[in-house]
Amino acid sequence: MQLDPLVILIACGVLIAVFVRAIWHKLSDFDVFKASFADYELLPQSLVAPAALILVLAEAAIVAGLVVPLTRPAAAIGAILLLVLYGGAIAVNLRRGRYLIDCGCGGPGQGLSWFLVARNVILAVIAAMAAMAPGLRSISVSDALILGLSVVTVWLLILASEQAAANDAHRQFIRNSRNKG
Amino acid sequence: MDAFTIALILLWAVVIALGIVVLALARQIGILFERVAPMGALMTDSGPKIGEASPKFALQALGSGKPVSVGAQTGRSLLIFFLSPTCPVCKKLLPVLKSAQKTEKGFDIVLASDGDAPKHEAFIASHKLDQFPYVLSSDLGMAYRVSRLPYGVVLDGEGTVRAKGLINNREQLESLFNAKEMGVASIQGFLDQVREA
Repeated sequence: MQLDPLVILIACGVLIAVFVRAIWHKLSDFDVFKASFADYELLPQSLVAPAALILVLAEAAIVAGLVVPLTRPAAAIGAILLLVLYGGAIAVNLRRGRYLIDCGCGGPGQGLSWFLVARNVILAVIAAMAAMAPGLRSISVSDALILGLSVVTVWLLILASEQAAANDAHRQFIRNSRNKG
Repeated sequence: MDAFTIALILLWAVVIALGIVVLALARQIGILFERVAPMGALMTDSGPKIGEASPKFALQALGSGKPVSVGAQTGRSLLIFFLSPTCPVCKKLLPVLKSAQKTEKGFDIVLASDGDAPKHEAFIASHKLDQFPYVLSSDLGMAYRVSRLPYGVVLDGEGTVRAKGLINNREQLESLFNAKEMGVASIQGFLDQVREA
C-alpha cells in the first residue's frame, strides 16, 4: 500500500523522537531500568541483564534504520514488534493486578496503566504508517516545513497526554488514600 | 503569498501555541497535585496496617549475633529496610541510608533480608554495612508481605507501624522518615489533616 511520502516522514520523525527518548531514559539509569524490567517478572533473573541490553540495542538499531530510507520499512516493522512487546508486557502485568510496579518509562516513576497500553497501540499504528511504501512525489520546501511543524505538534501532544495520565494516577492515589484513611 | 498560504501559516502557529498551552496547563495541574499530596513511597494494601501494632520478632543480627527486636516498646523509632544483594536499586540507596543514620538521630535502622548467610556476609563486607544490624528472616518479610524490594517499614517507639512502602529513590526513602517527623502517620493522615484544615 502506498502512502504520501510526507505522512511517512512525519511518522518516522515521531518514532525517532519516541525511541531516542526511550534510549536516553534507559541509559541514563541502566540499573534502575534493569530493576524495573526484572519487576515485570517475565524472564528468569539471570536473563534480565542481557535482555535489557538487547532491548536498548534494538531501539538504537530502529532509530538508525528509520533515518536511512532503504532500511526504513524494516526498522518500522521492528518498531511495531517492540511496541507490541512492551504493550503486551504491561498488559500481562495489569491482568496480574500488578499496577503498582514502576513502568520503567524513565522520569520520576510511573505505575502501569491501560493508558500506556493504548499509547503503545497508537504508536504501533504510526509505525505501521512508516512501514508503508512512499508514493511517487518529490518533497518540496513547504513539505519539509510541515514535517518539522507536525513532529513538534505530535511531540507536544504526546508529552501533554502523558502528563494528563500522570495527573490522573495522582488523582486516583489521593482518592484511594481518602477512602481508606 | 496567496491567502491559503497565509491561512496555513497562521493555523500552524495557532496549533503549536495551543499544544504548548495544553502541555503547560497539564504540567501545572501535576505540580498542584504534588503540592497537595506528595506520592511518597508506594503503599501496598496487604500486611500490618498503618497505626496497628507491629508483629513482634526477636531476631539476631548476622555476624555480631546481637539481639534485634522488632515491634517491642523500645522508645526509639525503627526503620526496617528490606533489601537483597541482587537488587540494584537497594545498592543505590545504601549511601542514602548511611547518611540517614547520621542525620536521623531518633531512628534505629535495621537491614532485613532472607536466604543463605554466606552470600549476605559477602554483601555486608563488600558494601561496608557493619554499622547496621543485618537480620535474615523470611518470617519478617512474610509478616509485612514484602513482595518487592527495596521496601521500608517505619515503627515508632511503641512498636506501632507508622509508615511503609516500596522505595525507588531518595525522595521516597526520606518520605518514610518525614511521615514520622511531621507527626502524621502516613500520606493518608497528612491528607486527613489537609481536609480538616
